[in-house]
Order: sequence, then C-alpha cells, then structure tokens
Amino acid sequence: MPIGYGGGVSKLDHIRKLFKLGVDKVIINSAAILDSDLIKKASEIYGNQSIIVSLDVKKDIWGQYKLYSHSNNKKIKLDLFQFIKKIESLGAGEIIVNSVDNDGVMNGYDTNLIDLVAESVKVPVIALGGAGSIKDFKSAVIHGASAVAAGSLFVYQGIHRGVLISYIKSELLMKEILKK
Amino acid sequence: MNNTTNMCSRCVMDSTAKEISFDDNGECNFCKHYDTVEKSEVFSDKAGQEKLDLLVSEIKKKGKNKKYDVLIGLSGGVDSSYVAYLLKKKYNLRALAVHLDNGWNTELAVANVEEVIKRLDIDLITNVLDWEEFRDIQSSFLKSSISNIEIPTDHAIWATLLKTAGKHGISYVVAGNNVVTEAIMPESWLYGSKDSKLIRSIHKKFGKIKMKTYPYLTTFDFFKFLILRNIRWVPILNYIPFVKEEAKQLLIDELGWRDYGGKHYENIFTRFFHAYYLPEKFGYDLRKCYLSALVCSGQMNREEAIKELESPPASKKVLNEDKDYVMKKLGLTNDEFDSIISNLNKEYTDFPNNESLWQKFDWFVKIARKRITRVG
Repeated sequence: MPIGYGGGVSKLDHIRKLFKLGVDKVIINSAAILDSDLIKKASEIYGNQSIIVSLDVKKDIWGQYKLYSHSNNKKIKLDLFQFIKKIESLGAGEIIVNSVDNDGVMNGYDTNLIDLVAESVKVPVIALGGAGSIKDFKSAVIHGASAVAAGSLFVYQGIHRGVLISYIKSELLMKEILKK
Repeated sequence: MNNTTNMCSRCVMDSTAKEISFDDNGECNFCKHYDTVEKSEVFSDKAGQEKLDLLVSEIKKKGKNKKYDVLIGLSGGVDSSYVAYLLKKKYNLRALAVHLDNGWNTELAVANVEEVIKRLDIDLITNVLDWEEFRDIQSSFLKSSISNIEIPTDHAIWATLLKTAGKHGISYVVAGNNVVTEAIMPESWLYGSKDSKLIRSIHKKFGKIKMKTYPYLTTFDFFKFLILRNIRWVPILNYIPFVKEEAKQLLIDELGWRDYGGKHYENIFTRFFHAYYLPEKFGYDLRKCYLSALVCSGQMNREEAIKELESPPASKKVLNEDKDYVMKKLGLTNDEFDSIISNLNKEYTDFPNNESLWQKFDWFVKIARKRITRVG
C-alpha cells in the first residue's frame, strides 16, 4: 500500500528525505501557500504523481469558501479556485480538499465544495472532512472526488465518541457501492 | 520448576506460592478457600436465578428515568464480552460500556470490543490514558521489583468504572469477575490493585514526571462511591452457571468474537506480565491459579491442567517479541531491562501503602467488599 506523508513539509530537502525513507507521496499544505515555487521544483524532480497539495477550506460569514491556514490560524486572502488552478499548473498531482467546517463532525462531506473543486481541476481530488459512514464515501465520489479520506470514522465510535481504532470491512464497502 | 516443589493433590497449586499449606490428604489451603468462597459467593442454582431476577427488576426500576441501567467494563476478553451479551440478550438491560485503553491493546481485543458493541448496539465510552504519564508509572513499577506490575492498569479500570458510574448517575456496575475461574490467587502474587497510595508512593520513588491525569481512587473515593452514592458492584457471573468454554463458543457463534489464547492475553503488557515477568523473575505461573479454580469448580480435570502446565505460558517466539516490544515501548535499554529482572525481588510492604489504614477501618473494608462480591 502506498504511503503518503504530510505534516511540516516545507523544504525540498524534507521531501528528498521522505522519499529516501520509502514514502511514496508527500503532502504539502501551508508551504504550498507560502512558497508555491516548492511545488514546482518538487514536481519537476520527483514527478507530479508524488506531490499532493492539501488545502483547508472554511466558509466565511457570507458562505464563501476561503483558504484557511492552520499554521497561523487565519483565512488567506487568495481566491480559492484561482489558487487551486495555479497549484495544478505548477505541478500538484493530487489535491486534498479538507472542509474545516465539517472536519470531525462526522455528518458527511461538503459535497458542494467537492463539486466546485472537481470542476475546476483535472488532477484527482481527494475529499476530506466529515465522513461519518460508508455512505458518505459514495456520495463524495458521485460529486466528483477521485478518492476519499477520513480520520474520525476510523477512530470514534457512537454518541460518546469512544476511541476504538477500527477498519471498514470490504464486504460492507462493496455492498454500499453496489447499492443503487 | 525444581523437584522439591510440592503440588496439591486436588488442584495444581504448589509451593511456589509461599502461603501454601497442606492437610493430611495433601490438599492445600487454596482449594479450601475456593470451597468457602464458592459456598458464600456463587449461586449458580435456582436460588441464584431468583436473586438475580429480583435484582434485575430492581435495576430496571432504578434506571427508569435514566439513559442507562448499568455500567460495564469491556476489555474484549471472554468474561466481559459475555457479561455484555447476557445483559443485553438475556436481561434486556440498557448498558453503557467503558473501555480502558492503556496503550497495550492487541488488535484482536479492539476488534472484539467493536464487534460486541456494534452487534449488541451498546454505547461505548473509552478512557485513553495519557501515554507519557502512564508509561512513567508502568516503568516505575518495573523498577520497584514488586510482583504485581499490573496494579496501575487494574486500578485505573476500577477508578474509571466508579468515576464513570458516578458521572452518569448509574447505580450498578456489572462486572465479569468470577469465582469459578478467579477465586484462587495467593496474596503475595497479586496484592493491591485497590491501593492508590502504593501506586503514588512507587511512582514518586521511581518516576520521572508528575502524575496529573492518571485515574485513581483514594480511600475516601471508595467511601464516596460505594457507601455514600451506593454504587453497587454486580458480579453477575457468580449468579449463573458460568462455563468458560461454553461462553467462549457462544461469543464466537453469536458475536463474531475471536479467541486470543490465554486468560488476559488480550493485552500485550498483561501477556508479558503473565508469561515473561512473573515466571522469569518470581517463578510464579498464574495459570496455576486459573487452572486450579477450574479444577475445583469441576470444569476441568486435574490431569488436563497438569498437562497444560507442561507447556510454557507462551511460545519462545511470542515471549521474545513481547520482551522487545515492552522494552521499546517503555524506552528501556537492554541493561535496564536485565537489571529489572535480576534485581532483588521486593514486596508491596516495602513501599508506603494503605494496608494499615484499611486494617484500622476494617468495618468499612468489610462493607465495601460485600458490595463488590454480593448481589442484593
């Protein structure tokens, strides 16, 4: 299974080290906003299949999607969709779209956001933030995601959010996929 | 074991337990203790059924305006999983389950907990211990050289159960502790999981960081929960005919439960404790106790038990893997580990503990003990 690593990747040297350790893909978040040149250089050296850009998106009070940076806890004054197109052209091979509003809530992905992002780029879009059941996976894919990502779903159980690392059974996944 | 070890003629306890004494027929005091406890605490006949039915209706009445009737601890092992099954399927009680995650769960244990709560539709709360802190406490116990290095975990389970029951206003904690597999245990082997003073004194002496979040119960807490708030402990398995093998098979068939082999082997540290630490450092083999209880209860014959004891508690491969894993996870060097095993063995009495306090208040301990061993 390919391994992607994200968290603190901000220099070309980090990326080199990660690939040397055996990681298949690196995930870049804040650094893609601060230093878009990094995406360009990294994808030129390692190929864009191995460079994933992850973006945290949060709605502002008018309901507009805004890029959000966790490293300095504020919204970024860049047009989200222009920025996504830019990093695609710079060489990002995949884009993870994380809905900050839905993240951890386990009530489903922001499918509207997935629609908009998937329409604006050609590279694969990975949906993140909000998955609470297998059903949510399916709906993200219907809305244009090429892959789905989840955290809480694999960790929390039930109304008290009991911590129990669990795995989705492939039979259940197949059943949901085949369901009309 | 060496050739001078004397074994009881009825069960499989032997002179590796320093408390052992034999009568003229070669039967030991542990068997006799078993008989006494069985008589006073096990009601697997019709009378037990009636007692339990009465209690169940009382529990339902008391839980009427609450979200849950009972609290259960769920480790993913046979006993606790079976308790969950009984409560839901047989007695139709609304249970809230608590699972303590001390960082050493096997994947199988977690999978079992998941199957049990999903298939029985039981709500789950987990208490995940702060790893940096708990690692420091566990390492302190290893460095103390006392036999029961599982005290920090066992105590945390107790504390989590009583505190959660208190928080959610639940009056009954139904537990899987039982006489027929657990009534035989020398005090010198496993003293003191109720004693938080012992935990704090050992941690103070050998630990490196401050105890901040570890859940423990002071003597006053026991008083508060068991006497003032009247939280009752229900050892339900003593009130039914509890046959371990049958229970296991039922769990496998009905809940997709999977066997992990060996009592308490659902947790890696516990397996290390049973199969490596106690046999290597102290020459204790806890299987003797569990098997002896099964022999005394008639669930196994003595020859089978002796045969089982001939093979080691776990394979060499598992033992070595567990040892390496424990060293790595606790951050111990080879030298540190070797000196832990070779250091002079200590007893809990070598460290400040609550024993003398509890002797002074033995009336309270008696009431408290009654509340955790008897129904009604």
